[in-house]
Amino acid sequence: MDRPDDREPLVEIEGLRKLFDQSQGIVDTVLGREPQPVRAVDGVSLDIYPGDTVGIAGESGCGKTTLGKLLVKLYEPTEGTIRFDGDDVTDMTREDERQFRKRVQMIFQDPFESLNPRMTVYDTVSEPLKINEMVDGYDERRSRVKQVLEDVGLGPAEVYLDAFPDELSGGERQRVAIARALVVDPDFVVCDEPVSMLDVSIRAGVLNLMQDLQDEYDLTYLFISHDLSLIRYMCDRAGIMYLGNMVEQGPTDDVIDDPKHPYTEALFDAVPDVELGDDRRRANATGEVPSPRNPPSGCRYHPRCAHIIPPEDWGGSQAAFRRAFQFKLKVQRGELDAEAASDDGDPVESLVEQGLTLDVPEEYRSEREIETGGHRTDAASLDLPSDARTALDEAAEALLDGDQDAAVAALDEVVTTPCASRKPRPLPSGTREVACHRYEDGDANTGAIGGSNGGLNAAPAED
Amino acid sequence: MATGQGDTESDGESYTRRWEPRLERLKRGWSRYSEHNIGILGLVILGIFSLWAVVPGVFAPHSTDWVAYLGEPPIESRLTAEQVRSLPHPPAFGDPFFAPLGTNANGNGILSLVIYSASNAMYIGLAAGLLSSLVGVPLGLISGFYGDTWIDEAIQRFVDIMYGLPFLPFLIVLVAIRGITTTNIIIGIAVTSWLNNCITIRGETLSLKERSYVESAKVAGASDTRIIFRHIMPNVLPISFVFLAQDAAGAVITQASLAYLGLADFTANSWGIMLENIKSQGYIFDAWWWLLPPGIALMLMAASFYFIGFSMEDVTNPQR
Repeated sequence: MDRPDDREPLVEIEGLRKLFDQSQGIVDTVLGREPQPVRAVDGVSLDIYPGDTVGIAGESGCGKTTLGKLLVKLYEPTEGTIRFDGDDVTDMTREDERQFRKRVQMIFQDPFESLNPRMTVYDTVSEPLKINEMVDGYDERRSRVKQVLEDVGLGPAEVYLDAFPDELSGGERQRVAIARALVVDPDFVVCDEPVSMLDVSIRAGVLNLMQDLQDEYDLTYLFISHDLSLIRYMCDRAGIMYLGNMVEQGPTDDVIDDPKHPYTEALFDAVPDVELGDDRRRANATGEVPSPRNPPSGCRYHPRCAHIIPPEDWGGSQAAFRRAFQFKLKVQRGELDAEAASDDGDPVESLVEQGLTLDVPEEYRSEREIETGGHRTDAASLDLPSDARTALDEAAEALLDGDQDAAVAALDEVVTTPCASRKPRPLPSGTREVACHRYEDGDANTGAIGGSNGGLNAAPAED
Repeated sequence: MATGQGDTESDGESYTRRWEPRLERLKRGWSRYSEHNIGILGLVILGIFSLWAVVPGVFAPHSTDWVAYLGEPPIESRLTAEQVRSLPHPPAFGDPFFAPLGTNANGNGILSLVIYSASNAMYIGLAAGLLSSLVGVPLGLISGFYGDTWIDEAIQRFVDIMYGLPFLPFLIVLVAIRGITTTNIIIGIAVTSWLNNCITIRGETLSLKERSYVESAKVAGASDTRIIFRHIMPNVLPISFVFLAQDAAGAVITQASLAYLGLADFTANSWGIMLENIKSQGYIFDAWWWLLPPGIALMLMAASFYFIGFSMEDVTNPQR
């Protein structure tokens, strides 16, 4: 999608931040603990242009639904601004808000929850009209509702007007929900996983309908989905979120065909291929998503990243550094201790080899890891610099003595990464913006990563 | 959007069309209600009691002042010693007088007393039940909707304090201050029974307000009042009906026990007072015809409220 520069963005999001649960109990206050809010959305900037369909993807808990709800003013942002058509939505007069409510609507994920079971289809769809006093008189309201119902493919509308939601199928319900959003003739519609609760067989129908309606009603969509094929099918632009951060955004085709951020790469690798015979590639990322209450420092993704950047004076390979860094993380988390050392052979050696293993799908493991079921790896075959090797041994010895702090201190000197110390800023890279340290110094190593010698793991899951 | 100004004629027309689906819904509601025989039974019992309450004269064989052997007032003669000894008289059908459920120790007909007492029981049941629903449901809705704010806190702490109020001592004080009247009894019952209502409705509201239809109403710009009364309240009505029935039944029984303790207006006709009289006059084991009818009437009234509440739950609950 080429975008002429003279077009004004419809929605401008700047440094948006939403923290939940900032209050704390009296015990925590007395003990002087810092509140640890959930950082659902943490510094997102995004422009949405009129007529575009923007997709937001990410695994569950990455804050994409929160972002959507912030955009329709269901939540108030903790920090940052949202401007809709030039006006700041966080600071609106009553009259402005009425106008805003007419122009911005939302379609929710679950049509079985989003329709009031006690209200007929007519009551549900006509409610926004009544609230906003948009149509006078019962007859006109009724004809407007009928027209919208027919537009969303519920015709003849007479049949549906007096039906209750429990008399309708899932697809029909979602169409009613779409009709409710469109009845006020909005400009901007946030769709939160609009088809994820529907049967696969009717998804395409609803999606095509939404595309047709976009032309008819002149809509701008924000699609929130964990389903990347849906994003590819529907959206002109895509944004990838991880732990409240927007890690990459740009034209959908570019983002999908040539993902730049390691997380995007992992996300797309995790999508199963339909073609038979093609082995499913699983993504190359270690461990689980960290808690949004206490996200990692620097780049949020660095503990799981396959392309983690070694320090400048690192003598060995990047792969070796990744393993060494995993060792450090395991020590920090207390996952590695003296008890884990096996009885046979040198306990230090055994502990080091165990710490250097990667928690990744089988195709990315070393031979020794597969042999031992992921418990050991061959330290000798790794391209570890000698000072790192010494540090690892030292740390393992400290662990055997039960001194975790000393172990961490031993590693702190050698195994450090710029990814953990600085937060990457979203920087333009080609057609899009990527928030990754690897793209900060120009595009020197762009080509090298495009080849993708291994995806990262991040199974897209239900939100 | 369109600027419609329908003239009066089409207004009337649209009015009928507008109400048609609602009438249709009422009919559907009735068919759902009548699915359960128990609901019909409750309605029949309550119907009979209502008729007794409204026109007792049609059903009762005598007035409440009727005295065995002597008949209706004005009464000029007095009972002979032999006649007094025969009281309370077991059921008699014309010889020496007509009293199908016998008489009490004063010679009043039991059946007439039971029928004339219905109005009192109905009044107390409905007034106390409605009053506690009218207080408890809105407060519960507000408390739940503004859950975890100072509004919720204030209401819930007030409820906690009210829970600490012991019922009988409170009622004794209330009656001592304001006098033994039926109104005071109703107030006393309502003051203590709305608490359960409030707490249950609050819990229900807390879960309902997280539904996405509430969120979508907010997106459409609905006010808090609209969300509470249009989107949340219809969904708590099933439980509130059950509570209404329960409170009404409880109130009738409570009034009876208060009458038994002498805390209710003893000049009124009431099933409870009839029971108190039989106890105080010592005929519990001798005059079954005096003991059983008011007890059975009480039980039936409480049961009918429960039955109706049970069936109303089905009508207002669209899940089936």
